Amino acid sequence: MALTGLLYARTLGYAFVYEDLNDPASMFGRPIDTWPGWNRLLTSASLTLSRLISDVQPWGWHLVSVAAHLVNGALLWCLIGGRWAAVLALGLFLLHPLQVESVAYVSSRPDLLLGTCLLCGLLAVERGRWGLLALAAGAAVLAKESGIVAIPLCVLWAWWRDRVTTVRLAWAGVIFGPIVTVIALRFVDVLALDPAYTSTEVTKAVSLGARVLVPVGLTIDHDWGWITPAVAAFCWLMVAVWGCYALIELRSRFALVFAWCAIALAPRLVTPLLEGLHEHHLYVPLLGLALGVGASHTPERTLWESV
Amino acid sequence: MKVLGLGLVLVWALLTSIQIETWASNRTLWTHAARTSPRLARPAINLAASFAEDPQAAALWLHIAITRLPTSPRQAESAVAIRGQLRLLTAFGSPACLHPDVRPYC
Repeated sequence: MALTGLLYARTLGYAFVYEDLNDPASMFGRPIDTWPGWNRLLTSASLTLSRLISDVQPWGWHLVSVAAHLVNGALLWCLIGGRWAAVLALGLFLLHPLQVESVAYVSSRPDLLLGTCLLCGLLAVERGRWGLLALAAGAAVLAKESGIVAIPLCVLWAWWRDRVTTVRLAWAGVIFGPIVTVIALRFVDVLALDPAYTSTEVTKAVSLGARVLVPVGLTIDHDWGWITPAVAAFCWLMVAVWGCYALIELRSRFALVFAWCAIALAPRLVTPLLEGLHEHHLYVPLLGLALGVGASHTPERTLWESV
Repeated sequence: MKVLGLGLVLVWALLTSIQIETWASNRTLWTHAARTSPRLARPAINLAASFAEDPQAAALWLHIAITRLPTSPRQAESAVAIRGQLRLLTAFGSPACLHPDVRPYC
């Protein structure tokens, strides 16, 4: 945590960059018609806080981002166990270079806040505070539209950690299913199941995922020209193999991370946007990976034993 | 295992330290983008930065972007970005808005 604070302290002296300057309403309080309104109420509140701290000077905006990342690290620490596993998991989440875009770039604030809400939700699951879970899941949607994944991710965590019975899981589906559906329908104007787009995005996700192991080639402007049908097929094959293994070893850490990443990235795969996947979209998936690495041991059962 | 874990964390910290420098300013960001993805045009859409470097090229790019901007949802993000940048240029009285190719859009 201290090392993370030390490394990111430098960003306090950095300028606003790129899309930080795209939204005068959030940065300088000028009204524009694209202002997201209550869609990102939590994000708006955090940007207002930044403005109260340093007005239009970037240091306050960076300070809030770094603080949010450190808070997320502290919340993650509450969820994981084991001395060295915790070091590895926290190191992965806090210090991996894939996270730089999320923390050093003010425009990625929604992803940080989504992470905070999600972690609060997971802690609520751990302590059986279902009201707090609903609150955290609601706040996640107010941080970023894709915060809709907070509910299924918390349910996944509850199931993986044996925190709920099958009956309670069914009730969760009955209660939260319609809520998730209603929120998802709000995005119906941008939802478009385009198989070609989804295929490309999955390939990008695998490519970015590979950078977890080999963190090179990080940039704001990825050249995806190398994605050919053959490459896409290979990536799909890798995903299929991982998915099959996850099904067989249903309660393994691999299965948790697979399901987590699939749920976390789902909104990006069905919402065609010009720019597609970027490093900051991996903030929540990396959180799942860190949980998979550092979560307390859960008795592993195969699919057949579960059945 | 301990050595491997600590080693990984230290390597990540070192790479993060290098990567953080990339986000110091638009100049470092665009330099990095141009080095890592020279074929791509995304850096050009930051008008606020590119006008300072090359007003003529930036105005030309904006003209192309505006006139060919499709209305499909896939382009929505780009459209919002361009509109936001134009508002910024207008709000701050940027000389970019005095450029004959840009003035109609400000």
